[in-house]
Amino acid sequence: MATVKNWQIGREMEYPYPESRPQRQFAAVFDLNKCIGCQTCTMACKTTWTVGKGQEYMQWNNVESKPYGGYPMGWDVRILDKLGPQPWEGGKYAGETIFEAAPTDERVLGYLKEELDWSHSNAGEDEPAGSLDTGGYETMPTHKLWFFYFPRICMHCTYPACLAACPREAIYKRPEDGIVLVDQGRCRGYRECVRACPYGKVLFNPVLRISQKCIGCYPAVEQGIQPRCVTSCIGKVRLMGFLSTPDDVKPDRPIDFLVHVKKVALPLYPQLGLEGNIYYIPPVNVPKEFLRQMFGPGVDQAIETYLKGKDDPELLGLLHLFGDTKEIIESFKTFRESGEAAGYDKKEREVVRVPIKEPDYLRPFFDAARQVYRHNIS
Amino acid sequence: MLALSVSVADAQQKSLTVRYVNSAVPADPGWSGWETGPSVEVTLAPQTVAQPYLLSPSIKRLTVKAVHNGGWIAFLLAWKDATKSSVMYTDTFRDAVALMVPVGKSAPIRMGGPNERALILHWKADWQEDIDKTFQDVAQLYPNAWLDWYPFAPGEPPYDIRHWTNPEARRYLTGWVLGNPRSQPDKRTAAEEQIAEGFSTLTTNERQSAVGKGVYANGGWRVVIARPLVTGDPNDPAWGPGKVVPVAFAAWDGGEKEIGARKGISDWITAKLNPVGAK
Repeated sequence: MATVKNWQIGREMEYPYPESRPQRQFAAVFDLNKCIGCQTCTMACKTTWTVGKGQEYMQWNNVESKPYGGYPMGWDVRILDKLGPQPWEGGKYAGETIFEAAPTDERVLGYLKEELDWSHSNAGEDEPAGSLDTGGYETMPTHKLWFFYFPRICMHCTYPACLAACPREAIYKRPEDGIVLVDQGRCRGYRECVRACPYGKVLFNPVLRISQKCIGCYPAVEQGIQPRCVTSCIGKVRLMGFLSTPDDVKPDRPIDFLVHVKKVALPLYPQLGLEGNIYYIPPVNVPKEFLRQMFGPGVDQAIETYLKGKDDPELLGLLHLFGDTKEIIESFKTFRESGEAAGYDKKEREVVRVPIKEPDYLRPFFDAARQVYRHNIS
Repeated sequence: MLALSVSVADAQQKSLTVRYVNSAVPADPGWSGWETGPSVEVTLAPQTVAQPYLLSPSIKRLTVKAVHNGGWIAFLLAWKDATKSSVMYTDTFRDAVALMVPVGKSAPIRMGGPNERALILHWKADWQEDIDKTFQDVAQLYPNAWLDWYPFAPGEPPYDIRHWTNPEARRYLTGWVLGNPRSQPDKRTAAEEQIAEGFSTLTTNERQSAVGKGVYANGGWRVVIARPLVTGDPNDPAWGPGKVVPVAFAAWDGGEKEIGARKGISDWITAKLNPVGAK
């Protein structure tokens, strides 16, 4: 075991291999306030990557409903239950990660997902938590009766549990972009990675008898293009980019700005210790207790910042760049005079420019040119 | 540790006589030649060196016999297993057995070491299933499943994987295209020849000369793994008629989800190959 720095838990931790960060780290921010559960991302991923034999059940990208949904079923509550109650002390995690809590005979605290766990990807869909009494009413912004859609892909972790667990060393993290891949020629189908990944994002192909996972659409990323699940999202929920470490923040880098500067996008189950690289803007309608368990101690501040976003031109501008270009945005700017936001690629070429507020058009009730009345629709 | 020390004592007391036979050596557990000759009981100990460990192996001992005919060497490995496990769903594992021989004069028991290579011959029940029945495609794994469309697959439902010959479809057959023997639908034999220089280095040998066949009956497996003594491969062990080589064994009970490092292992057993012509 080596000692490595995991900034998401504010401390050093034990990991089977020494710290070895990639030159750039693939990362993305998903705004959970905007996801409508349409599964367009799921279909984009499915039709691109998992239409082969043995992949019938696979969703490298999935959208589940929280609190009750899960693919594989119960992935979150199962690992939380195994880990047991664990404390945070302010921004520092005082509990054990799944590497530190591993029994002596294992490298990672995990469990083998059962076949049935993969068989109900839409179980719990649209099921809200809580109940309203007769004559009750909803509250804002936190709802008494709540659920939210939860889109998920591989976290391309800084400290992948799958990689740590593989006795065959068939899993690797690419130095050029931090994407985590299973070597399909070397994998022997032991499924140690399937046991170890707490997010349930490594899957076994029973026909090819090897394990497979989200590949971060690396052929696209290599060409400066965002992954399929990101570019296909009709709700413009997602933004993929690269993330720096907290000691090397570039404020004009979109993911750095959201994660490190504004701290509006949070890691998922940081207490597990993987330093995953998919970040979430928490849904404002959900009770904070639930969100703090999922996204750590930064929840309250993140929601406060997000709700004030309309008065923050930079944040508002960047949120408008979500889903507006297929190019990877390396840096962004907002222009107060024109009320626009723009994104730039690796060569600093402008690849997208959008108005932060769309102009209003007032049109008369009666259109004289067409001799028709307009209805009150947009 | 107790079990490990028992195993060491076991190895010191026992050696495996590799009988010379003046006949073909078929990779067949039903061969009449197996009915005679000495056998050795090999104790399997927990694997507690490389994580994940297997603290309590399900298979405690193997009964081993071996013969050679000057050209080929064959091992019969028999053990009790109440359940036949030969199909790999996402959460099931297959039975397996393996034997290891140093490529050079000696090698560490931990699957060899740097520049101390070991040759490992590994029989797998799922490969045996592929050969005895047919390749375990979706139609075999899930007979009631129906998918009406694989976008790039040629042919008709159930879109037998062996017909996926066009490049667009083959992109989805990653392991097969990359030469991973697990993913090959047409298996020649149920044994895989592998080399290793320590834990985590296990690699399929480029040249595949070993053959294997297992039969499950009466609550147990009888598996034969055979290989030419000399193939010209640089990974040939230093074995031959009249020579003495160390051999080690490992076994996996798929029903207990044993796979990879989760295995019962023996210590080195001394295998003495009788000279050609010896009775």
